[in-house]
Amino acid sequence: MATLNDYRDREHWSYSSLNQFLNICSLQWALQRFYKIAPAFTPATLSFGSTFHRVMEAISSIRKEEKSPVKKDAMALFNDLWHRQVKEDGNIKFDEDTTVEDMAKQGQELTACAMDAIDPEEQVVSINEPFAVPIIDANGNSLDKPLIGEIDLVVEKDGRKVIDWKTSARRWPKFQAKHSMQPTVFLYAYKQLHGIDCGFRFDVVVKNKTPVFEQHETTRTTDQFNRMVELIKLAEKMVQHEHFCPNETSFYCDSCPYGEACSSWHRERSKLISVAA
Amino acid sequence: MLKLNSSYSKKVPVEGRDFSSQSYHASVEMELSDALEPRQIQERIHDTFKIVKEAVETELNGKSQSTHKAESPREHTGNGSGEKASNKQIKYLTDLARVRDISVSELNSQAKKIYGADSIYDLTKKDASKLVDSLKTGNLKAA
Repeated sequence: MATLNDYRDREHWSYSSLNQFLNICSLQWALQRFYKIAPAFTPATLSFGSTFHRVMEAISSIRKEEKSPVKKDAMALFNDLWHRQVKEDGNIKFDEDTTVEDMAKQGQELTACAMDAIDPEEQVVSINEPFAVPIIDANGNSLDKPLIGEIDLVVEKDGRKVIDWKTSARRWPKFQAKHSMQPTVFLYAYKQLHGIDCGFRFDVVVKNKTPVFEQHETTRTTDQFNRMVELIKLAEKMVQHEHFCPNETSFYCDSCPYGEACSSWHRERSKLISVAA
Repeated sequence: MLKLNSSYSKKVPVEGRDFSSQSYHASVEMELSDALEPRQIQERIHDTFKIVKEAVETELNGKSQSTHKAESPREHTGNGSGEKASNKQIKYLTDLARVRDISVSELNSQAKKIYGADSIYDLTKKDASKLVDSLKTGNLKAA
């Protein structure tokens, strides 16, 4: 079975790459993926999110076998995987006044919250399904690079739904799912892979003192797929010309692992221009 | 201050398209010290030209060692029939399929059925080439 890592072997676009380029900061994208600068640290939220995904994957595997996952076991699994993840990632940056153990406790509470929300009538169709599909515009022209990714979960109940697991620091605004690029990317891929139009749902666990579980459903149209491809074409042109722009007011700046490289970017850039002039 | 500009370009035919070619070009611009002797300048020109020429050739042969590449993949070290089909090869395959009204899911099914590949992006160069031939000869048709 081909894995996401197999697909990463070729040049590609992915949702995380597109979102980083188009919505977070194109300079951050460039420093990480184009100039290949090593990140100064791993944000703790990233390691935490990876662990949560692995736990949800294990829970879903049990559900797929039509068995009932045990909450206590799942919480213990989070604790175990989190400590392993911390060791594995090494250079993790934690928020002030937050420790490894605080996050271990929080992760277990989020796991329990997510398990309480499981609908036993939902059939698990697939878990962590990797994909690679061509990117084709409205006129039938395909791009060189494929779109790759991995779909967290696909379930069946009153129709098929693609699910993505999220942990969030705060409750989602009403239109976040509607405007997110992720359902567009994943439903576009799913349609090409299986020839099926289906719905998309974010299963979000909010890190409140008492965790809250939210579901946000959305759909996408062919016109939205076509718009996505035009955005990718635009991004490709910007990459080709190395037009990378720091998003100076991004919410991500404070925790950006490329902050140092970013702060000296304009000085390096002016040097390059004066050499070429 | 002297300025050295070394360029190398090469045109190659586009696979499967008559009267068509793609041009690959690389150039490097650098500054040299005024104090260099003519022989030293010639050596720099030779070395720099060698770098850009090799860069173009390695890119063409799919053996890029570049670290400055968008979404740069891990290197393909294999060659010959075991090497995965390139993005250009898959693009050609999907373009051909589309004009014949064959969907990506059908192509993936064929790739699985005939070559045991999980998707068209999992095909080897050799198998992708065979699938292209099947499409061209009409042996593979829309379901």
